[in-house]
Amino acid sequence: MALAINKRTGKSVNVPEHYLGHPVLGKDLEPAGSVVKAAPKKENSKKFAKQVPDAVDGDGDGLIQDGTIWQRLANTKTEEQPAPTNIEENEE
Amino acid sequence: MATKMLRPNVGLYVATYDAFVDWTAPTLDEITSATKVFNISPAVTDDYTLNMTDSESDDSLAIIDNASVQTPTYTNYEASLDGFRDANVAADSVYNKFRTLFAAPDVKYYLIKRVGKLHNAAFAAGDEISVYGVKTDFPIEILGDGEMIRTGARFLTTGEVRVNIDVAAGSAGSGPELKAVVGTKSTSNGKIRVYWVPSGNLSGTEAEFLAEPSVTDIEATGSIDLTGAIAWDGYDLGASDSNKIDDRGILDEGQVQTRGFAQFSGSLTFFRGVTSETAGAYYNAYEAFKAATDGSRPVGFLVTRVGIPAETALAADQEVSAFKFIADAFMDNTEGEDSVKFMVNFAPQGNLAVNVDTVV
Repeated sequence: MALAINKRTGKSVNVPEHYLGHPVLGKDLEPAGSVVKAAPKKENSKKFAKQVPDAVDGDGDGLIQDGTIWQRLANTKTEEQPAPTNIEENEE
Repeated sequence: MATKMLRPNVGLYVATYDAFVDWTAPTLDEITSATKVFNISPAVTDDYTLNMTDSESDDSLAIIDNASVQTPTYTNYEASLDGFRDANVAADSVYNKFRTLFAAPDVKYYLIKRVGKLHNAAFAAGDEISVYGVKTDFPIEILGDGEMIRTGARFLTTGEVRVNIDVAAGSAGSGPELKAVVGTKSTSNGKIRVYWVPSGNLSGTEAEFLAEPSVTDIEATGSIDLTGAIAWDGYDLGASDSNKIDDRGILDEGQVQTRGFAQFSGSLTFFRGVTSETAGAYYNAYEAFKAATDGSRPVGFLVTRVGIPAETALAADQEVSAFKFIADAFMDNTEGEDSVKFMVNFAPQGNLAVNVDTVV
């Protein structure tokens, strides 16, 4: 059994090995390995999302910035936290 | 002296679902409508079925009963008509009328039988008729070596049945419509083509292919015209009666059926070419299905074209049927004095189209 791609229709099919190279059954078939490309790398939208302090719950689902690392409840307020002035205290 | 009635004092007619105001009491003007009632008698083969059958029964006993009891409950009936296929698909004939009336599933009709007069004798008030309500099932192609091609009209019952009722008075029309040309019978031999179209060869979706089978896909490289390799011996390909599901309402007094899953089957016997052959119909058929145990199990459609001379090229607007299958068991047939053959059983895959027109 071999995985092949039909060059005319673009469909992938399982076929008996002897179909590949066969003058009638395999003329439009190409081994899948020779034409299949790796799937495009999936972008991680969470990685690039920026926090929006005044985000609005546009879809009314009770969440804002849905699907990002900044996803939170709609009634949650975020405030900039000042940088610590005393490092030692912070480490404690 | 009593005189026996001889053949052919019977007529079969089809009325559209809206032909009667009250189907239990057809009037003369209704049954002689030339637009809603059709005389199909010349097309129907002699082994038709249109009759009541044993009613369902209840076997409840009373304490005083001393033998079995069977009390009829609702009535049963069955309908199944085979009609000759016209060699000329364009003729305005009774054969083609029969085929057109029953070409699609789920169409409601009343089938009418009159016994006692020739089929083309004018209707008169007082004629006794039997009326059977039906819905069409998928039609069946009936083929055979040395046999005529027939269309098998199959039906589901609607529970509406009245036998031997009088035609009520009215003014007679010109119907039932009876085509002037009966038709030309067509032999099965040389009038069938069968193609194998692998699923990977479909340029669109399966649904699109079933709605409008593409000539391009059917003839593309990788699809095979199996016709020249198929032997009559063991030929079995096409739709059969759908599952009939009992589906009565509380008002129904007769057998009511709903169409369940469509049924179709495929089993073809192919000639085996000599081993030195590396081309041709026998070789291609063998190559297509020989690897029955490697796990690949070819999936595709068997497409049939029936009634058109096999040498006629496939083109748009030709009626075909398509059935989705997985090629299954491969069996050698080396017995007897005839040539060596092999049989391939195809397992149905739930999708079919019957009598649809091809497109380019």
